[in-house]
Amino acid sequence: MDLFSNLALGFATASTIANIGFCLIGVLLGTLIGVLPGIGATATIAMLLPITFQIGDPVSSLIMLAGIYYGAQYGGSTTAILINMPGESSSAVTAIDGYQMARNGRAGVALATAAIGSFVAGTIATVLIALFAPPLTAMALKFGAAEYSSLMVVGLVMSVALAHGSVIKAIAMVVLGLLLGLVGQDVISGAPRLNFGLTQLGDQLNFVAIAVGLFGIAEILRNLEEERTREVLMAKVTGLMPTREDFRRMTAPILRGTALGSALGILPGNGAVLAAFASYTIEKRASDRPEEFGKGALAGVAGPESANNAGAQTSFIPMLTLGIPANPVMALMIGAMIIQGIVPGPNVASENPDLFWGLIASMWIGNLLLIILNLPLIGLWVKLLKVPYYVLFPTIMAFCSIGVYSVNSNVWDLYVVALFGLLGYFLLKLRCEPAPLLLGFVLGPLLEENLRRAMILSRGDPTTFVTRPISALLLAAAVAVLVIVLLPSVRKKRDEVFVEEDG
Amino acid sequence: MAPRPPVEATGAGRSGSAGNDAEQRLFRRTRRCCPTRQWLRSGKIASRSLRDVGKVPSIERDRGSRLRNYEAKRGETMNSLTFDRTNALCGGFFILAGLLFGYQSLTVDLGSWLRIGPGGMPLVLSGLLVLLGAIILIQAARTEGEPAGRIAWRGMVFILLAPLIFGLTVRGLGFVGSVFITALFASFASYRMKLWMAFALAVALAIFSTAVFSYGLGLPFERIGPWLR
Repeated sequence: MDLFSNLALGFATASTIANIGFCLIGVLLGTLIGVLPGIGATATIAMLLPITFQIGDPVSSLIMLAGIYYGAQYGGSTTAILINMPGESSSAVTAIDGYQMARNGRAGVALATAAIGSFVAGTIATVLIALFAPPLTAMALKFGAAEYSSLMVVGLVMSVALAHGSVIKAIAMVVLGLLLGLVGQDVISGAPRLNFGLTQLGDQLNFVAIAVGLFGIAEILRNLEEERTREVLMAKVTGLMPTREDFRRMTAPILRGTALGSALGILPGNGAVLAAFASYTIEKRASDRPEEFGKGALAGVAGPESANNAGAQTSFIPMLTLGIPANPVMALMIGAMIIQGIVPGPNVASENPDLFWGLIASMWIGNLLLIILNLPLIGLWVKLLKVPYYVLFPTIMAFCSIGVYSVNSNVWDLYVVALFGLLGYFLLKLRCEPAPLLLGFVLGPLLEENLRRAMILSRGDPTTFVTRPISALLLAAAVAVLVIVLLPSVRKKRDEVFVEEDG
Repeated sequence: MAPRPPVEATGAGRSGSAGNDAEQRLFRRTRRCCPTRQWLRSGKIASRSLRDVGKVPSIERDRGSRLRNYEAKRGETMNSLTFDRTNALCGGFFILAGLLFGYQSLTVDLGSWLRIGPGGMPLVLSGLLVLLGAIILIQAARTEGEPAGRIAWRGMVFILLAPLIFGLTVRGLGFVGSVFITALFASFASYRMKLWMAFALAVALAIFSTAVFSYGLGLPFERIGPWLR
C-alpha cells in the first residue's frame, strides 16, 4: 500500500543519525525556551528560526523547526502545571486542573498524564496526516490560479474569524500584513515598489526580521512593563508514574481530546487553542465527577493536552498540502521553506517526498523523544524556572541580533527588527493581534501572483473567480464565515467562547 | 489558572458593545495579574494612562498633552461624551498606513484588468485599509475605552536600540565586541540589573556566542573588526 511505502520513506529519512540529532536538538531547545518564563511558542520559533538556516539541508532544518514547535508546547504545559503560568494560550486550560493537581502533591502524575496524552495524540495525528495529506494534495494539484487565490482568501478569513478581539481590527491587520508582504520588488515586472525609497531592504522585507520583531521583541517589551518577582512555590515532583486507576480514567479523555483536536487543528486559525478549550468543556460534561473539575481532575489535564497536541500536529496538513498556514507557527514554517528554496504548496509532496514524509515521520519521533527525555529531565526544567527575567532578555536580544544578521549579513534587517518590534508593541497596546498580520505577510506575494495570473488566464475578466465552480464555492465559504462572524448573535457567542478561554 | 481578574472599572459607566468586550478581554489576557488594578478601580490611573495612550506615536509628545489630560479627566466625569482613545488611535494608524502605502503604489504602474501592474493590488489594499481604519475610528466614537495600561518606556529605549547598535557596530568592532556592547546595552532595559551583573553577563554572552556561532557553526563574521586593530 502507498501509505506504508510513503511512511517507510519518511521514517528512513527521519531516522538517520543526523536528523534524529537535529530533532533532538530542536525538541530540547524548544522545551528549554518554552519553559523559560515569558516566551511563548511563536516567539521561540521566530527567535530560533535563523539558527535552523545554518543547517544546509532543508529537510533537517524543517525537522528541527518542527521539533522546536512541539518542544515549546511541551515546555508550556510544564510551566502551566508547576507554576500556574501557561507558556502559551493553548496550555492555559491545562493550568486549571494541572496546577491544582500539583498543589495536591500530584505534580508528577499531572506531568506524566500531559506527556502520555500528548504522545498518544501525536501518534494518532501523525497517522491522520499520512492518511489525509495525499488525497488533499491530489485535489490541490487540480487547482488553478483562480482557485488558489480564493483558497488563500478563505485561509485569511478564517484566521480573522478565530482571532481574539475585534473582527474589524483583525481584518485590518490582515490587510496591513498583505501590504507589507508586497513591499520590495514586484515578482512579475521586477519593478521596485512600496519601499519608501529604501532599496537597501532588498527585494522583500526580511521575514525572519519581521517575525522576530513582531513576536519576540514585542513580547519582551510587554514583559518589561511590569517587572515582578515570580514566586516559584513548587512542591517536589515525585511519583511520576500514574496508577492503574489513573490510566483507566485518562484513556477516554485522551481519545476524545485527540479526535476533537485533529478535527479543529485542520481549520485555519488557531485550532489547537480552541480544541483545548472545547475538550475541557466536553470532559466536564462527560465526567461522572464534574465537581472535581477546577480542583485537580485528571481528565481536565488529559483531554485538553491531547486535544492541543493533536491540533498542533494536524495544523501541518493545510500547510504541507495547500501551502496555507493555519496559524502563525505554520506561517513561520512556510517562511522557512521559502528561504530554503522550497515552494510551499501541493507540489512539495511530489517534488520533495523525502521532506514531506520525513517531516511527518519526524513528528512522531519528536513526540517519542519528548516522552523519553522530558520526564527524567523535569528536575532541570524546574531549575530553569528560577532564572530571573532580567538575565534572560539581554541574552535573547544578543541571540536575536546575531540570528537575524546571519541570514543575509544585511545590517538593514536589524533595523527592520527594531522597527517591527516597535510596531508590534504599539499594535499590542492598541489591542491588535499580530498573528493575522504575519499570515497576511506570508500569503501576500502568493495571493498577488495567483490573482494576477488568474486575470491573465481569464483575459482580464474578473468574473473568473465566481464562474469557476471550486473558486466560487471557496469564495462563498469565505463570505459566509465573514458574515457569520459579524452577525450580532454569533458575535456574542464567539465572545462567550473567548470568555471561557480567559476565565 | 490565574484567578479571573475582576472587571476593571474605569470610573465612568461603560457602554461596551460586544466587540468592545472582546477587546477588553484580550487586554486582560495580555496583562493578567495587574497590580495597578487597585488604582484602576479607584479611577486614579485611568486619566494617567489615557494620557499615555495619546503619547504612543510620540511624534508630538508634550505638545497638547495638558489638553489631552484635561479631556481625559472630562471624559471620566461626563458619561455622554466618551470615546475610546485606543481605538481612535488604532483607526488613525490604519488610515495613515493606508494613505502612505496608497501614495507609494500610485508611483508605480497600476496596469489594466488584463495585466494588473505592480501598483494594482497595493492600491486596492491601501484603499481597503483606509476604509477599515475609518470604521474603527467611527466605532471608537461610540464606545468608552479602557486605558492601555503602563508602557515600558525604558524597555523600549534599550531593547529597540539593541539591534540597531549591533547593526552599527558589527562591521567596525567585529563580532565579539558587537555582541558585548549589544548585550550590555540591552541589560539596562531592566530596573533590576546591576552594573557588575550587566558586565558579567555581556562578557559571558560574548564568549559563549563567539564559541558557538563563530567557531562552532562557522558563521563568516570577522571576530575582531577594523576599529580595534
